[in-house]
Amino acid sequence: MEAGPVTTVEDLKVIILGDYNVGKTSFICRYIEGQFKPHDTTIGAAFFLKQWGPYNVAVWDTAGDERYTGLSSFYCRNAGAAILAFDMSIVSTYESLWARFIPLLDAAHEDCLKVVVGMKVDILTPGTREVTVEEARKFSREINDKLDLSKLPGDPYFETSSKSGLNVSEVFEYVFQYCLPLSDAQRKTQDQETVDLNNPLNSKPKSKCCSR
Amino acid sequence: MSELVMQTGSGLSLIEWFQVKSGEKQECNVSGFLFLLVIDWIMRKATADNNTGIRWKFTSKLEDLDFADDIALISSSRQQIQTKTDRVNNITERTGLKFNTSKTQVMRIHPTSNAPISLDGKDLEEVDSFISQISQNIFKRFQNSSDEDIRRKKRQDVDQRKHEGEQSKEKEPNFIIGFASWTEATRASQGWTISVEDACSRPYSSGGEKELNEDIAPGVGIFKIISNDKANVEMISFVVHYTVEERASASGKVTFHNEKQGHKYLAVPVVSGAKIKGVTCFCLNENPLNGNPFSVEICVALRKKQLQLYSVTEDRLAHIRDVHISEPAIALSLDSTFICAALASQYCMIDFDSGNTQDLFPYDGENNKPLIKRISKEEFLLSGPSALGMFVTSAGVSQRPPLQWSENLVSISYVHPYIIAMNDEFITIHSILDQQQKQAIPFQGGTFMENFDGRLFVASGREIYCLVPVAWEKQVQALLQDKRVTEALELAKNANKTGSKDKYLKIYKRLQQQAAFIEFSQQHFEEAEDLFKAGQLDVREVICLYPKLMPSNSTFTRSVPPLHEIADIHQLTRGNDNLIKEYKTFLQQYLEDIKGSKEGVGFKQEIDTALLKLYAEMNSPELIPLIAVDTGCDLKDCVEWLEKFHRYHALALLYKYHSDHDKALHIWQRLVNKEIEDEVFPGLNFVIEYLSNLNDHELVWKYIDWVLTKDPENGVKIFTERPQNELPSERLRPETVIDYLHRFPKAVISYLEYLVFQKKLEKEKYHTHLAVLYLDTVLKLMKDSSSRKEEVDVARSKLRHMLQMSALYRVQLILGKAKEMDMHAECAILYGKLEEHDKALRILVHKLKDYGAAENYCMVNSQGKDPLYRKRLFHILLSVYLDPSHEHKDQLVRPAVELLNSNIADFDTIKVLQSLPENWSVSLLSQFLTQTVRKSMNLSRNTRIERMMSRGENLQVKQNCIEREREYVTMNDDRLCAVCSRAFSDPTFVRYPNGVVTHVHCARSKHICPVTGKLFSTKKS
Ligand SMILES: Nc1nc2c(ncn2[C@@H]2O[C@H](COP(=O)(O)OP(=O)(O)OP(=O)(O)O)[C@@H](O)[C@H]2O)c(=O)[nH]1
Ligand SMILES: [Mg+2]
Repeated sequence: MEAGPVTTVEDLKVIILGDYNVGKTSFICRYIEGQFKPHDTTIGAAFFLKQWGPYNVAVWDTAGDERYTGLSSFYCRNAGAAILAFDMSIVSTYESLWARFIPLLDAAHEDCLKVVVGMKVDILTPGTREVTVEEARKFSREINDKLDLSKLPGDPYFETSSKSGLNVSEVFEYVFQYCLPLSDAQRKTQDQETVDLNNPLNSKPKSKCCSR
Repeated sequence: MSELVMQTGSGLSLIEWFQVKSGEKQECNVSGFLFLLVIDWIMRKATADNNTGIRWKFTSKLEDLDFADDIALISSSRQQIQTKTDRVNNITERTGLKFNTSKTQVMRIHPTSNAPISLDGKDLEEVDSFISQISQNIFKRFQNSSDEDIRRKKRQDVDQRKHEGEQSKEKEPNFIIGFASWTEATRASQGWTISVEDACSRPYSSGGEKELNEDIAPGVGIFKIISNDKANVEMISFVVHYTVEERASASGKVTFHNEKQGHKYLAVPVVSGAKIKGVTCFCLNENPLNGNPFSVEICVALRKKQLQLYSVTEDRLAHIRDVHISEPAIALSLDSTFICAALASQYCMIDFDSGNTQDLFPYDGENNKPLIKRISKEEFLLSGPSALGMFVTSAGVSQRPPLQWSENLVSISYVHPYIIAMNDEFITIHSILDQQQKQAIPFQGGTFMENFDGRLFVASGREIYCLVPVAWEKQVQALLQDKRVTEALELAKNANKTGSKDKYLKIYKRLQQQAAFIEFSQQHFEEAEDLFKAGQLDVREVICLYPKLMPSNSTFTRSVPPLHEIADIHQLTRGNDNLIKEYKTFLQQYLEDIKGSKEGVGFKQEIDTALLKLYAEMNSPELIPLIAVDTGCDLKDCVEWLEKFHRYHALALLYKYHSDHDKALHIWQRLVNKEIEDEVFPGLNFVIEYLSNLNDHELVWKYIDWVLTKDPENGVKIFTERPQNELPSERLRPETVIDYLHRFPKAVISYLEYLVFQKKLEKEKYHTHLAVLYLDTVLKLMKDSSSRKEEVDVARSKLRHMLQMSALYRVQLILGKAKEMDMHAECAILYGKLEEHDKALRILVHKLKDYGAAENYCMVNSQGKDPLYRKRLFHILLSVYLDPSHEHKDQLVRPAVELLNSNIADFDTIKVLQSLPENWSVSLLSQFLTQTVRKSMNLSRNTRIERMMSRGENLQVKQNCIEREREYVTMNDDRLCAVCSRAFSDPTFVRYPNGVVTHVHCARSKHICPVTGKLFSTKKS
């Protein structure tokens, strides 16, 4: 007997990358389960499914440890969005983003959205901050320079806390707004009967990276 | 069971075996083929219609095993094998062939007879085993084997396993694959079990390979070896035959007994032509695209960085395609057009159709050997770095999280839904569903493991075992024992659904119920409820856990075997009050949810009783609504319970529902009297309403006294608010009621009002009575100096309304009283009733000086009567105004003029002018006069117009009439006078309107028809 085919075909694959211990698993767990609890360090990768309106979103958590780099690049394949996580009080985790993780995203979708996320903002003090907001913000713009982010609210940069829940769902909503323009698309299907003559282009939902 | 296997042929030694393989027996392929045809024919002839074989499957028998000139005859008794041998020999001789008796041997297994078997008169040689020597030799090689298996459809519809391997240049088998082992299943807490110590599972000896087969049916495994000679590829097959018997011992343990039935090797020259050199590994396409069931597709990896695809049929090895790769492949797996290959340092996915290659990920070759296992359609499982089991689809991505394995795996296998991985110390079992490890079995020195049609065989260097899955039911039970509910249900859901679907569903439901009780016992109420529902649990199973909640007359007993070990919730919670409360809340909610739904069907009484008891205990507001509608509750049981918790109102309602109104009323009476208390009791008005709807009138009388004493004003509603459609009854006759009510004056009034205004009873008695009572009230108020004016006004207007509206009371009676008290307005009405309008109006005008009321009086009293009547009333009013005898007559000039000038009354002008005092100026009356003149002008004109129009119409009608009656009169000789019946001689004649024609002299009258006597109009038009 064979394992049944994986039944849910995902509409979007989101992958989270970042150095070990920066809080990736906690971040995803906070979003999916709505709670903050201790986790063992991730081995290999883990996988979550999330319903977003009519869409299935596969969220892949990866292991930050360097020895899994080869695997992480494999898991990046076909990702529509990547969350690049770093610890704002440890500059090395920030540096690994471009040194180690950005190259992995070659395997991802061409127009993969890259969201830079500073973690653990709850324990950050001005004294411990090693990466400035401006710096990170600029970085987030640069790595997405091939994408048109004009429709999105702000830069793809967030400072979050999985402990308090601050900004966690905002990150995902930002991603979905770009990749799965949900409410728009649905509103448009509903209003399709009435064509806006002044703005005929509007009636066609724009195809984005994920609408394969 | 004893079976005999007989083998004949060209001898059996290792050397010969390989000689056979090299294909030198016959130079010419065709001659070999012809030989085979002949042998086949002989065997079919010899075994047709004979029952000399061994039971193979339930309906078929195995008679012989043949390859080329090697023939094995199989029977289960000596007698049969002798018969069969003779038959074969006879038929063989007919074809010109001959058996070599010296190369023919007999092997007996558990013989019951040792009598020799003869061929051509010679006794045949007896042996223990046909090929023990070979097999041991092969087995030595076993440890360095690497392998794949090919399944093929073969003659005889039986399981046959063929294994292929590569042979080294030394002409020794390089590897061998396939065999099987008995095993023994013991109950383990979970997953899989393997046992070596058991007496039945002795390490096997001489034969070397054992095949485990379905229950008692014997099986055959054919194991193949591919030799990779410089010159050609051949496959050599090897048959081992065992019977395995599954026995259940007294203790319920299941053991397998295996009996070796025999061995035989077979050599198959597979191909002519194709030569494959430098093979590093190969694999079979488990999901080939070509649909030919008689061919298989294999992929071979060569040392020269190339993959080759072949299609293999019984006798052909056809090259399909080459694929170049960057490094030599170490391991391969193939599914449709996708090759998943392990190269020197990394895995890659190759689509041989398009030639696309996709790198997957690197592995560390030092610690782990690359393993690739096809899991399902276009999905593979790979041993990745850091001991991870990586799932990869043909698209090169993963759709499941990785498995965490241990290092140094040697073999992986898959039996849905388990991934089994083996290293040299353990066999670990993961579920593919949640990727978690489920079990680890210590197993030393495992070298090989493979899934043969769902059976998992594991080989160490010396022994072969079968890994038997514990029946899923048992696994599930074990998980439930550990309270791992979700896992248990998940497992059950994915269990191999063999057997009938109904049966499975039944088992699954029971599991859900068991699981539900586990959740229940852990206060996971939501889960429990879902499972109770999903498992369609008999709701009584839950209710009965709560002491005393079942109806007292219930005969329910819990399911056997028990679904749980809970005695009741007290035991479960150890008497913890808060917990008990939670449990009760849960039950309440659960019952509410299923009440009326399909789960609750058939248990209405139990559900309602339990709910009632819960509500009563928790003082829930739901109690009343529950009782108010159709409850299935048992009365006696519930009465006790409700009393216990002082839910008296509910209790009364319950009595009411059961139509025991007396008991219900009795309770309410006590509640009103505050003998007992219940805060939800709405009060006396509730009882009044109840009584007013009660159709048991005796009972009404029983309680009426008490009610009226408590509240006479509202109490009378019992009589006045009877149901619309109630039939009149003797007990509630108005007279009886009025008689009774005389003690309660207000109640009487209310009741009479009800009779008069609502029921509109037209009985003088009631009307008079009511009027008198009204009057009394007014009089009382008027006498009482402390009463306020408004009160008096209200009372009087009530009286007046009554006097005005009704015409049935005795006017004189009232009038006397009214006059006495100077109640002018009332008097006016009363005079009006007596048609003494002059008096009435005089009162209104002179006494009350209410001219509006006077005019109104005229209007009201003339309502519905002749207009003349109204005219008369107004004339009376006018004359009252103009009464010269009245002392203040000057004051009345104005209202009189206003009356005249207004339009409300229609006066007789002449009469008015006559009655007007002479001293009035014309200007005073000018408006009236003008109006009157205009009116009379208008009237006369209108009348004229009307008259003229009528005349016109009349003319019109007449004309029409004439038109219609006009007709010709034909006068000829035949025409006779209608009177004298003589012919007409004059040109004059008479014709009556009805067509009668006579002589002029015969027509006596113009207006009377002389024949019919009909009278015609005498009027001139
Ligand atoms: N105060 C605080 N601690 C956090 C936060 N997020 C994560 N942590 C802690 O950081 C540690 C690491 O969290 P993980 O989520 O396991 O980190 P990870 O990135 O998944 O690590 P790897 O799986 O090893 O790659 C844990 O001890 C968390 O409790 C946060 O927002 N605030
Ligand atoms: Mg993690």
